Amino acid sequence: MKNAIEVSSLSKHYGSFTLDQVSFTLPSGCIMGLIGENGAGKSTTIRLLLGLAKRTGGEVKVLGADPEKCEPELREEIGVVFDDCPFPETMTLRDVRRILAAAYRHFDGARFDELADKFALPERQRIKEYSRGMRMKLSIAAALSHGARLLIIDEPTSGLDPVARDELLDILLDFIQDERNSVLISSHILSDLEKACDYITFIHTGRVVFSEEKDELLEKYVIAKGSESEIDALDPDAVVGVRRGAFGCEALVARAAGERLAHERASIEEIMLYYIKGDAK
Amino acid sequence: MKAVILGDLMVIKSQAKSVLLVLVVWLAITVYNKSGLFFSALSVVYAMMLPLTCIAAYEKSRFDRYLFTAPVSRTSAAMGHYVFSIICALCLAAIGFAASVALGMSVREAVYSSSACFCIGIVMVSVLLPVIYKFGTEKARLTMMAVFVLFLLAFGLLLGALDVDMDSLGDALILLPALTLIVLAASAAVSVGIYKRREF
Amino acid sequence: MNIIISNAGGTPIYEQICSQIKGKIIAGELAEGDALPSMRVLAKELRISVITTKRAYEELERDGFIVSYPGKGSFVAGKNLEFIREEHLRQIEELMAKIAALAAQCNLSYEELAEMLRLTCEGE
Repeated sequence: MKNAIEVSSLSKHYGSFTLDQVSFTLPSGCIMGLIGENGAGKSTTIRLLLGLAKRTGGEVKVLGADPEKCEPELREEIGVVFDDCPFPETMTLRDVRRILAAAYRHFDGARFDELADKFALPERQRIKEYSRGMRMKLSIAAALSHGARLLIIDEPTSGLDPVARDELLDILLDFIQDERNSVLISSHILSDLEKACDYITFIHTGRVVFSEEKDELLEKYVIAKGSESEIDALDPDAVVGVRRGAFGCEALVARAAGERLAHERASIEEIMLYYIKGDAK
Repeated sequence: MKAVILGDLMVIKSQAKSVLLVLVVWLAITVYNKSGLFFSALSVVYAMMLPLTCIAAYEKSRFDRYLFTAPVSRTSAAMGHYVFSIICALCLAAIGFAASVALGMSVREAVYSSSACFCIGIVMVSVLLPVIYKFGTEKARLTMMAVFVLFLLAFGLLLGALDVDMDSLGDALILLPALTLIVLAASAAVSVGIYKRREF
Repeated sequence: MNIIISNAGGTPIYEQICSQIKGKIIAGELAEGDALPSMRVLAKELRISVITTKRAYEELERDGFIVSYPGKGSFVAGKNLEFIREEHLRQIEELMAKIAALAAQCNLSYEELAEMLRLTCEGE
């Protein structure tokens, strides 16, 4: 399969919020970071990808099938990690193992145990007593032990300390070694996970601002620094946003235009910030 | 479906102590009253409480949403709780039957009374589950109370008006299983419809 | 084989990988026919995107340094490395001629020029 996810003009209309003509493609074997502020539409998009909600327009193909119409069996290959652990609090690790075995035909108990071991998850404690990080790790272990080809992770960085995030990064990079596997990470802040991302899709107020290769994105822009007049002299078409300070200004600008001034690399987070706040030029 | 039923069983298992306590206390009161009917009647209420407890646990951790991302069809997810409820009602009816017989009721009468209560329990669950599916467990609790009170009133009035004993009531209640089946089927159809349209 | 990338500088990561591998091939650290790590393994080890390593390998292949066989992997090409070295030397000579001309224009002595060159090389 060429593309793990194909989204075309996806729309969803809620009372107060609209997801408007969202389009992006995740090729197989890649990791995509879906970024945006809280409330931008990331979770809505994910719900639509999983068939948890019905779209009002557009087309969606997940692993080649329409999530609203596909056979349940196709979901064997989709691993989902939500931002909270979905298993009832009163369950233990053993209970979760049994539930997963009942829900997924290709559940791999050995792999689940391997991951639980790696994450140091206690066998007999109830989930009620797990810390935030442990709950997250349990969700991840569950998602990775039933032969999933597509991993959809919603807000993985919340609740994970830097060490755990690093472990997650390793796991994702491992997962991607098989080029039939793909990952979609949705987050308001990718932080270190952005290293491994191949593509970045930025959603803002229900629309896609950009969806492209991370490398190209990072090469496109620089943060130029200078006096107000220097910054104002830049070609306005090349400028995404400006931050004016008491001692100088900064602007996110196309590399070609910004290299003339003092400049530095822009991180994905900064690009996102400038796009969001950029209207106040 | 297996996943849902298993999940329900696990939730109840975690509450095993309080469930057993309730059952023991009821049995004690039943023995004290020397009436197996007492247990059977109250088990009707408990047959509703158990699935409610399970679904409430699912709602709290959003396990229901998770199941929809698993290869579980919406139909089997909806039906899982029904099957679990039926299993619960059967167990409770069996205990009620045993208690009735042990306390001196004739086997025939015991069969009638415990199966009647089983059927009524199923009817109650059939009314309750679609409400839970549509409106969630919090609002459904009120419905459960209302339905049970209405049921008591209706049953009481009916008995009072007809003034019959258990035997002939048993004969007249031959219709009950058929009625139960119809209500169950209708409820299941409605529930499946609700689940199919449900959005998270 | 060590590949060290730096996030701080302005050089794109794929370029860094490219030039380091080129350097190793020219220096003889990597011999003709040697297998390179797969793009995915390299991406995992360096903790970067697969697209980056893919781009680096594509450029290396375009320049004739490596050959990639789908399903098998990438290998150091049998290109005549002497030829590449000579090409680089020729470029250096050209640039040197330009430097010499500029130096003459601002009356820079050979010693000062050598000093500048020393500082530049040590700076890397």
